[in-house]
This record gives sequence, C-alpha cells and structure tokens, in this order.
Amino acid sequence: MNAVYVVLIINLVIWTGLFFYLYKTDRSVRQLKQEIEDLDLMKDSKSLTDQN
Amino acid sequence: MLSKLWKAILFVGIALVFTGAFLWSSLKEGLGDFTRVLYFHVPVAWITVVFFFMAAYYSYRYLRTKDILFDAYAKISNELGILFAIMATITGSIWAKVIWHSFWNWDPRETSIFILLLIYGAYFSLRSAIEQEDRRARLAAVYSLLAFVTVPFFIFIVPRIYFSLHPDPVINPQGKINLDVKQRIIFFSSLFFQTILFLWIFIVRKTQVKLQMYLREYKETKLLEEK
Repeated sequence: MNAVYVVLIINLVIWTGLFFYLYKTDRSVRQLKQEIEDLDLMKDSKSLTDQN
Repeated sequence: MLSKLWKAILFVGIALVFTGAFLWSSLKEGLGDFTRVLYFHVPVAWITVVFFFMAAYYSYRYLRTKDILFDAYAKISNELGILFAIMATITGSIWAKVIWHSFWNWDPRETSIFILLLIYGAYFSLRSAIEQEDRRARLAAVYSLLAFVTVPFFIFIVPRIYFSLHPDPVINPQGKINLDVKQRIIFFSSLFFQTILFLWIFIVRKTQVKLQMYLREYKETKLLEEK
C-alpha cells in the first residue's frame, strides 16, 4: 500500500476516535445539565459552569 | 454564539490542515510521504507536555487550597496527557516501522516516552490504591508534581544528549526550524488548531466532572436530610 494512504488511515482513525470521545463527553455534559435542571437546581449550577 | 463560531473556525481550520498535509505539502528528503506524519505526531507530543504541565499546576493548586475540584482537574489532565502520549507513541512507532523497519528500537526518544508512560501510569495505580479521598488527593498531587519534574528531562534533554535515529526535532539543537515555507504554514496551523481542540476537550471534561461532583453532593445532602 502506498505510504500516503497508511498515514491518512492512521490519522483518520485517531481523529475519528477523538471526535467520538468529544461527542460522548459533550453528550454526557448535556445529560447532567438536564438532570440538574430537572432537580430545579439550574440556577446554582449555572454559576458553577460559568466559572470555567 | 461565540462558541458556535469557534466550533466552525476549528472545523474549517482542521479540514484545511488535513487538506494541506495530504495535498499541498512538499516532502522532506529521506522521509517522502511520511513527512505528513510530522503535522500530527509533533502537535500530539506537544499537547502531551501541555497536559502534564496542567496536571502539575492543578496539583499545586490542590495542595495550596485543598479544594477537591483541583484534584479532579489534575486527574483529567493526566488522563488526557497519557492518552496523547500513547497517540504520539503509536504514530511514532508506525513511522519507525517504515523508516527503520521495526516498530520499536529502544531509541532514546522511544525509551524516554516509554519511561514517561510508566511514570504517569503509576499515578493512576497510586490513585486506585488509596480509598480515603483526602489522602489520595494529597499523595496524587505530590506525585504529579514530582512526575512533572522528569518531563523536561525525558522529552527535551535525554534525546539531545544521546545519539538518536529520530530526525532532528522541528526546532533543532542549533535553534533553526528545518521546514520550508509550505511545511511551516501547515505545521504551525496544525499545532494551533489541535491545541485549541484539545483545550476544548479539556474544558468539556472539566465541566462534566464539576457537574458530576455537584450532583453527587446534592444527592448526598438530600439523603442526609431525608434521614
């Protein structure tokens, strides 16, 4: 196989993995925010996340 | 709005880096198509150092303030640091297979990253061995600070002291950048956009941990109240 394709495939695999990880983490954050909102605590948690 | 704008800029930037690396870049003599690995391998190695530094910084903040949140941030930084160290090792060893005909040669750079992986792997062993939260956080913070002291030694000093098959770093010992104009543009764009993206991952993880802790504390308080 041509070297350029080896490099391309390796990078695509790594980047796909990273984006998937980011997507999963981001989804988990949204779920947590929703859970807190459901508990009627959003007012307090907003000040927590704003400190980032 | 700003967040969406940043995401769009990042997406376009990273797409341009990929396009530039595979369609526009000139190739280095002796490396051929594997010149393109440089645009991904080096930034990942750089980000590893940034995360280990952040881990040391948050460990220091924990020791100063005893705020358990800083311990959690230090843990996240070390997790991401070790993840990127593994990625740098994988991209490096695949490159080594093609150029040196072997995945692993115990070259000073390979040996250095291997020792660093062991040092930071031990950080997680230490954490999992201690149950008491305060004690675990305190010991892990001290260990993380000590571990970071070895990073400049293994990443920057050892490979420059011993003979290495590894190509000259981007900035070589003479302080010159061994890249032509096209390569520089792609390399520094890649470094910039990847750093921003990985910091974004870090911020999302930080928010996740913060919310988890908040929710846990809330549930514990609620349980106590009910009792």
